[in-house]
Amino acid sequence: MDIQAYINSGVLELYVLDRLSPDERRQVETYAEQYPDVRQEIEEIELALEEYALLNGQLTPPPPTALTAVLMALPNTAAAQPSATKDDPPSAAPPPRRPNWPLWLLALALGMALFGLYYFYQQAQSRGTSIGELQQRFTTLEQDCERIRDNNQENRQQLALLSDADTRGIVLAGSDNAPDSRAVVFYNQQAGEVLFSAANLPAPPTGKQYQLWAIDANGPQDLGVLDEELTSDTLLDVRFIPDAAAFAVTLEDAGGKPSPDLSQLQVIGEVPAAP
Amino acid sequence: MPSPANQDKQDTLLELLLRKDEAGMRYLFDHYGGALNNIIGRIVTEPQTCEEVLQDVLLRIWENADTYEPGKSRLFTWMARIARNAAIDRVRSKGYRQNGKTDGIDAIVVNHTTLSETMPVEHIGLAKLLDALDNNYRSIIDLLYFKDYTQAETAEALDLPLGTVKTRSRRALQKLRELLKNELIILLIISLF
Repeated sequence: MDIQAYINSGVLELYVLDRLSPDERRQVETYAEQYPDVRQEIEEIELALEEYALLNGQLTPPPPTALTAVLMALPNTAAAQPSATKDDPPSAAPPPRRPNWPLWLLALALGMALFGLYYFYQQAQSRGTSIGELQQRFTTLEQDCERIRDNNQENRQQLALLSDADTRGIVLAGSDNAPDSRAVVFYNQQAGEVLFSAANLPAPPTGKQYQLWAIDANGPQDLGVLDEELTSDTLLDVRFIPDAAAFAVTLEDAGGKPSPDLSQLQVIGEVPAAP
Repeated sequence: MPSPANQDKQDTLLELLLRKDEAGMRYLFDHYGGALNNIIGRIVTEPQTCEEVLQDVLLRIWENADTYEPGKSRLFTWMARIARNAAIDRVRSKGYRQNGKTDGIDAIVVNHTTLSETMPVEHIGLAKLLDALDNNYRSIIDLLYFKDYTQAETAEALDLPLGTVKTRSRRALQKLRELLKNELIILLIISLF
């Protein structure tokens, strides 16, 4: 049996068109069960005629009155068919809709856009975090920089003072109480400035503090107590006393005293006479 | 290869019909009412009777959906057969003067020509398809599919030897399928935009 020849004979077309004798019809149905090709061909012929009929049907829309009439003629499904209502409550799912391509595409695009938004949001978040960190570091550096600049300015001023021709460097030598102690005072009568450096002062005993004095015509003038942790490399800017004759450091009780206990004199040095 | 859109439509309709849902009737009317009306109208030419037959056919489909056998034919083939048979029964019944079959083949072909000329713009696709389908092919499809013509009557109407009706209808359907395939591709492209 040549199936292709059978298909080409046109008998399947007449089968679908319902123009065969009952014998021929049964034969076609037997072949359709045996040969998938025959089944497939019949289906395609059906589809072509279906398409043709639907296209032709566009020209002959059914009268709307027909729909009204048949709907009226329908048995009342809810009341007349309790079994159907049991299986299908009135609020049964709406009829399945055919898939809507543009809608799916739109949904897909929307999903991608949302994902993109989320992605960029995350990126922005992490960038915001790192910007915050950088800003903090920048602020720290700025503060460091400011401090160093102030320091530098101070150092330059001190250096300018130290290199001034009118500045006298006075070494305060150790007294009998502390023969090895040393301190240095830089005194500039013209600029009105005094710098003090504890070149070699041992740490004071507990409860004691060094106190700096300037001695002028009126006797010792208090210039303040020294910090316990004062190091030898620090140059202290201290109060200026005009026409000072000498500078001295005594060891006093913590907090200092209004007048010096000269028995506790540590270092002393005289201001050399102006040239 | 079944067209996916028609397959979906068929599945949806069958599900609704089997559920005995009123929505099934609306769906049937909206999607297939025109085609069924067209099939009936080819045989029953009187508009009032035509509508009566259409109502009868719609109700029969709705009521007998459970007797449709999906393995044997497509749903539409089954429905079209019901429509054609109902129309034929009506014209054969007494009280209806049959005049369709006495129309010669000329009437059918002339009818076609005027149809495609007066066709509204939205049916331009069908108009083009009908134009592309050779008159002889169109006639044989219409006579066999829409009219109550046997092979012998068709052969006589088209002045063909009886044995050639089969092969001629085969060629006609092949041509129709080819044209529809192009049409479907265009429709598919349009529906994507």
